[in-house]
Amino acid sequence: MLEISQFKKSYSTGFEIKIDSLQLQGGIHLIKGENGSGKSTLLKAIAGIHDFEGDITLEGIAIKKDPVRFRKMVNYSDAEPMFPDFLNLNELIAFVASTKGADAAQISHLKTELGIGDYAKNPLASYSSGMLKKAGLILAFLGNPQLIILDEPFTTIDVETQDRLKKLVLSHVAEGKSFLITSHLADFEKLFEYSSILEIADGKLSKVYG
Amino acid sequence: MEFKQHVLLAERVLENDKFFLGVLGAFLIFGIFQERYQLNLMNESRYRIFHSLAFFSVPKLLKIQLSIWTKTHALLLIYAVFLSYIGLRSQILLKPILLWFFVLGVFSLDFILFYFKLRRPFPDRVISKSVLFPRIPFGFWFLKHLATNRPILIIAVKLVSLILLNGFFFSYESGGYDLRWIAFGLLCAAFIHFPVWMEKVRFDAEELSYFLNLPRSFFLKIRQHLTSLILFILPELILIGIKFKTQDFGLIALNLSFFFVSINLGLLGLIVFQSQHIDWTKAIMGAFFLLFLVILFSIPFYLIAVPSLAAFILAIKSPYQI
Repeated sequence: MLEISQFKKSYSTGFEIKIDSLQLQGGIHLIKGENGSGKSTLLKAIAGIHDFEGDITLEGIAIKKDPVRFRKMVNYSDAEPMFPDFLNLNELIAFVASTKGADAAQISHLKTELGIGDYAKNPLASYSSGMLKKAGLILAFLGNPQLIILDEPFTTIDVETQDRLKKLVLSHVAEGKSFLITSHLADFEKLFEYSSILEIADGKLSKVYG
Repeated sequence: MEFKQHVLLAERVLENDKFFLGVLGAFLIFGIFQERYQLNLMNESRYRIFHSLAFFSVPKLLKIQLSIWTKTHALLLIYAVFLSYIGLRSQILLKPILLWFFVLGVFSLDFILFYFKLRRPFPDRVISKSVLFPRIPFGFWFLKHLATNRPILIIAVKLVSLILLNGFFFSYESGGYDLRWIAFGLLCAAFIHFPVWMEKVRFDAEELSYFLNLPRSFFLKIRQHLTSLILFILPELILIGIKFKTQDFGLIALNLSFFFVSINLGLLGLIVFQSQHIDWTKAIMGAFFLLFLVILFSIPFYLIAVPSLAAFILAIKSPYQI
């Protein structure tokens, strides 16, 4: 499903992430690592947000050769989502839905599943960190992505939404979609049956399981 | 300008090649600035969501960008229509046609840059540290914040303030004016800094709120505010120094510099009061006219500085204030 080769991302501070080769099949993949270990950097590169050296392909489509087609197959939810303050969530959903090709039924279903409801009419400037996280999550499920990347999806959201999110992830896996999830929470490994567990440390990625 | 003058100017633009090229240049420069602003804005985390505009088809993206472009360039487009109308009326057709081809070219370039921006990944936000000053002292934080997040504000305020102040000095040097004229210029220059001091009060209250918890002496607070403020108004202080550089005028330069620093500190103090939900907007406006009157009535500058400094001291005296 996902192939990473000769990946390198380095910063002027000296921090560097290097992955020579990695292949992931479908399913849920967990990436573990300490704060600042480079999890989000790697995910943003896979999502096509930030540039890197090397190549990443998804279902045979290379990000460097066909970036727009690649990005259309990958949805991403940030660990700390930020959106234009002047919009409300309904407007944001409408915009992303138009770009990703989501219909009204899917939007309504996801709103119910994530417990968003009428709050979506309020401007994003008034949102708590938990509501902003829910906003980021609903956008990550819109359309028909092959890979959904969720960066620290369970932090800041309430316990009820955590349960709903878990069910939502499982239902999407049943439909054949894959997930890349990060976490540094200790009990996170028991939450899903992972296809693989990866650990990132000192800028290097290693397979713990799978 | 009256409408007649606009018509005369438009006719001149169409008749004179240099003026016409000037209009094209203005269009191009504005277009470059506008495009740079839009592209840089998209790099910010909060607007990164618009990266997905890349998923739209080219005609749809063209429609969206055309809508944005016509709004942001509305004034220039209205002037282009006006020039075309004058050209038709005066039977000068070549230049209006050239103008619209140029406009089309600028838009095409704008769209191409926008299109490729959306296709490529966005740059990471990396703030590199200075080799000379790896640790930024507290008093420099506000300037660093402005340079990172509000560069246009710095440029705009400094440009307007220095041009205005230079104008005051120019007319003063031509004779017929006394030092009150320069003092009035400094008063205007200080009030041009109003948005910067508003930003400082917001920065102190929101982004430096953690430091309210720390024990900081009153004199330390004064020193840190003074450092931030003097760093920002240094170009004006240098200009005063240059204009009164001879030994005879040394005291005047010192007096005017003290006056300028005090007014800016007083203004900062008034904005702090305003931020504490006290309706001081009218007081700030009133302060301008009051200071103008006291300058007019030749009250010594050091006496004018006293209430300004008092406003500043009262504003930062509270332990709930940075």
